Amino acid sequence: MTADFRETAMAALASRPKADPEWLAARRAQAESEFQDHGFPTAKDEAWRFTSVRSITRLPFAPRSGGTTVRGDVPEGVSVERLADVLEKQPRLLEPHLGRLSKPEFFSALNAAMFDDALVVRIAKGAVVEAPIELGSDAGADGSADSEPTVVYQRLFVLAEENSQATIVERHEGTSTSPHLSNSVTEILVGKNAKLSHYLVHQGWSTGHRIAAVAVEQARSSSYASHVFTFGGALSRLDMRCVLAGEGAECALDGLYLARDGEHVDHQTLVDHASAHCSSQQKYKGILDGKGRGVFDGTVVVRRDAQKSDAHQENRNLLLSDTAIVNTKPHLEIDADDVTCSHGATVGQLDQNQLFYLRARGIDAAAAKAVLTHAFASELIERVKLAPLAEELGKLLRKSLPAGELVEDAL
Amino acid sequence: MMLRIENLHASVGGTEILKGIDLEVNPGEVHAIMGPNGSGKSTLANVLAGRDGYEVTSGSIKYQGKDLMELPPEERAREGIFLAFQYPVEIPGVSNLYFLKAGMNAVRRHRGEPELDAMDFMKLAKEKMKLVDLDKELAKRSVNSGFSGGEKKRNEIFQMAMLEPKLAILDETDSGLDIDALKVVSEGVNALRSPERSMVVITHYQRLLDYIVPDHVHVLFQGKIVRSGGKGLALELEEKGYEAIRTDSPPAAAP
Ligand SMILES: Nc1ncnc2c1ncn2[C@@H]1O[C@H](COP(=O)(O)OP(=O)(O)OP(=O)(O)O)[C@@H](O)[C@H]1O
Ligand SMILES: [Mg+2]
Repeated sequence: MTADFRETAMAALASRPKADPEWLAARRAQAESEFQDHGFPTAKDEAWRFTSVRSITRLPFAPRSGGTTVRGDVPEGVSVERLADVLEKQPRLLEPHLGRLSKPEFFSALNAAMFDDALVVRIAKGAVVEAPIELGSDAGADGSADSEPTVVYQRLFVLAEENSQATIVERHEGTSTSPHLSNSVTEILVGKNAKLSHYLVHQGWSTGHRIAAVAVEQARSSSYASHVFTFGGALSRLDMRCVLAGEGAECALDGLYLARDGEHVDHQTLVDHASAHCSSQQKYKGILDGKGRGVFDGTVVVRRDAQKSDAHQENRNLLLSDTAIVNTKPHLEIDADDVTCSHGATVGQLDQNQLFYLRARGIDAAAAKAVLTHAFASELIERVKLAPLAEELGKLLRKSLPAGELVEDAL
Repeated sequence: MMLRIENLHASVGGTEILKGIDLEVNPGEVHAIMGPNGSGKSTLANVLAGRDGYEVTSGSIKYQGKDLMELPPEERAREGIFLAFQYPVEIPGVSNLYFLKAGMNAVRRHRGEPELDAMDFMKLAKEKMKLVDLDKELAKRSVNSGFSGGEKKRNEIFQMAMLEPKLAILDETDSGLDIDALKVVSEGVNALRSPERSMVVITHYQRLLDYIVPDHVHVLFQGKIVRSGGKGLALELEEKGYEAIRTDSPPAAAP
């Protein structure tokens, strides 16, 4: 029998070079023992109930380099450095944060133990940065169907200092024909009164697996807006966790996900209202086609002292076929009494009245379906503040949607 | 002959709604269909436009000599059938003008005409918007999204003016319009009357027929046309109501 991922991961852990400062080495060791104890999640783990990771664990993924890198120029007021360089200059700078925001568990434990070329993005205190900070990774087009499965551990740390304003755009893609896994952990600290917008665009492909976690902590009066776009993938999982730690912080989490035939896309959000006067908005929409499967699990926690919290969560799903599946589970855990909260989830098909209306004006059925599907998704693209990115996402959407080219032809 | 309906029976969800309708419409004619709520007027309109879920159980519909039942809705639209909806549908996220351009170009391709480019399309659209006094800003918004009742109806007639159908079916285009709007819309419709174009105008109100003067008036009652006549029939209906009309025999021919 050939090796599975657990075996190759153990071997990789054993042979990993160890040159970290003490505090980091200790954290890695802890993560490693967490992974050794618990390994990979199974259906018994609540957060993984609807997502089997068998397609990953059965393959002997071998680590290779290829983390997230900067694309283009780094705007003024921003520094992007490799972790090793930061550690050399300021060995203890990240000690209070790195590995604290993201809980090491299953894949993120393995990431914490294994990552090597982490990227550290710092937005200087008071800097108002107009140009987006562009980051990305490309799993490449190399490899053939029978070449060795590879895993890349991506680690990103973002520190948006007090009163700063910036936008990060991340693009992750690939076309490799051999199985690929990107195991990614991002930690983001949004300082007092800082504003951060974060675009996360993932273009999946049929042999591409992605398990990603984003953990955000927000200080007083800060704001964080995330815009997630997940276009398929063999398995694409994103855990988005946002702690509203300081009073008056606000977050807006948007997400658009698409799962076509054979694809599995899972988004989990957790918004933790840990302080009073915070607000959170979540809008996730999914399109499922063929035998595609989507999962959305969104939790809002409002702690006892988080009075005057304002929390809204919405998840809408569009099923384009009889064989597509979606599991949606929005829930609220509220311990404070003076709060405004709402949540809702819908699963539906294309509206027959709308379809007929378009057809009655001469648009054929396939194009009418594509136009309506596009309209369902476009709401989230319209919320993208960067015009060129919005245009790029529109194109990507039309490329990714079933019969999306008909939208272009029709409109 | 533009349209020939013979002994049409149609069901919705297993219930028979249309119970034997005969209707002939010649090119250039305007036919008014009146009838109480639930009598089947919109059902007839939907059957003609080809909506799913409306099952024709017997009878036939011939449009310009062709069997209409064979064609999906988009083909009917391309062949020149236009339905102005009683309840125009809101489609958030789809631009009104872009959607109409898509429809128009599908129709033009079908007719072997060149597609309109954005400039020609806008020029034409501006002209036709004026015809029904439709706000330019409205036309740019999502299809019918947040339009008032009257604005939706104007938008229907605007689309009709753009698509230049051969057979237009107007399903209660007058309801929800104030008196000024009724005039504007009627003038818009009248401007589109031509010897090659036929119209079937469904309404509850004789008032509309003061503006759009029909050649024939039919009374639909419980899925059947129970009376047909000239424009005077609408007035008679207004005076006596449907019940009397149904039980009245048609006026005897003069000896
Ligand atoms: N989808 C449907 N399923 C079941 N019954 C339906 C359906 N659509 C229409 N009907 C029924 O068919 C009958 C005729 O409806 P239709 O809409 O054609 O009436 P109408 O003459 O246009 O009425 P109104 O003047 O109110 O517009 C009504 O009794 C209606 O309830
Ligand atoms: Mg009706």
